[in-house]
Amino acid sequence: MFSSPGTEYFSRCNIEATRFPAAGHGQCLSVRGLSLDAKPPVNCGCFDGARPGAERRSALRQLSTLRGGHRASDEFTSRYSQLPVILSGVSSRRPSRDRPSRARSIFRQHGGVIRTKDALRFGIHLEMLYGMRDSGSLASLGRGLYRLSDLLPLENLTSRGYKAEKEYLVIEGWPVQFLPPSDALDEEALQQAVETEVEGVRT
Amino acid sequence: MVTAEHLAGIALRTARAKDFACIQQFVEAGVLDSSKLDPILKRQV
Repeated sequence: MFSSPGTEYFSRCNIEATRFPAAGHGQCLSVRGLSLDAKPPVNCGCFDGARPGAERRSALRQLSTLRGGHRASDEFTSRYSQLPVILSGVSSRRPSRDRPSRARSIFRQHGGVIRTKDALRFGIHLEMLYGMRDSGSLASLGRGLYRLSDLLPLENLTSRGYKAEKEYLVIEGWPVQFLPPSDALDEEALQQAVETEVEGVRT
Repeated sequence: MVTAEHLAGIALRTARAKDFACIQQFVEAGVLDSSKLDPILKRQV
């Protein structure tokens, strides 16, 4: 096994990653006895760039074969950071039972609120994310933004060291009171809030 | 940041003296867009 950002994931999914220096491409994956070409789109040693074109199409065909003929293109993006998501579909082993707890742990490490793209970056794949959402473990705060359901109110802030004082939370020395929207007008105002700059600070 | 039109709507709903003063300031500053404010008032207030 070689060391790469995806090695731990591949190991969990029972995917063997081997090195083929003679092929001139460095590394390749062996999935259930089938070797994927050592080309960039399936080369788990390269997570930091996009290689569209023929190589990507070649990888798609191979993934499609592994998935029993189902098209992989709708799940496959040209970014290598998405690769674990794709390969989860061809894994012979289902995600282990401790995966949700690991995902919850990652959420807690990041204040309990994570965007989808960050979840993928932290190793939580979409299947897990959507599964947790559907089971109620995660609450969707908006498009691509998830919060742990069992998080206490404002826990994402208190976990970062901000102290509660009476009905306020002291943030950077300022007592701040959080009030939930009381009616449809408040909700609409929050939904349509805009980002602007005040004295050089984006808010 | 909540838009000025929504703040004006919320102030109209709350309807205290200081809320009306806030709306007056918005009008004098020219920050309210009537094409955005009217639908909000019709819908929500």
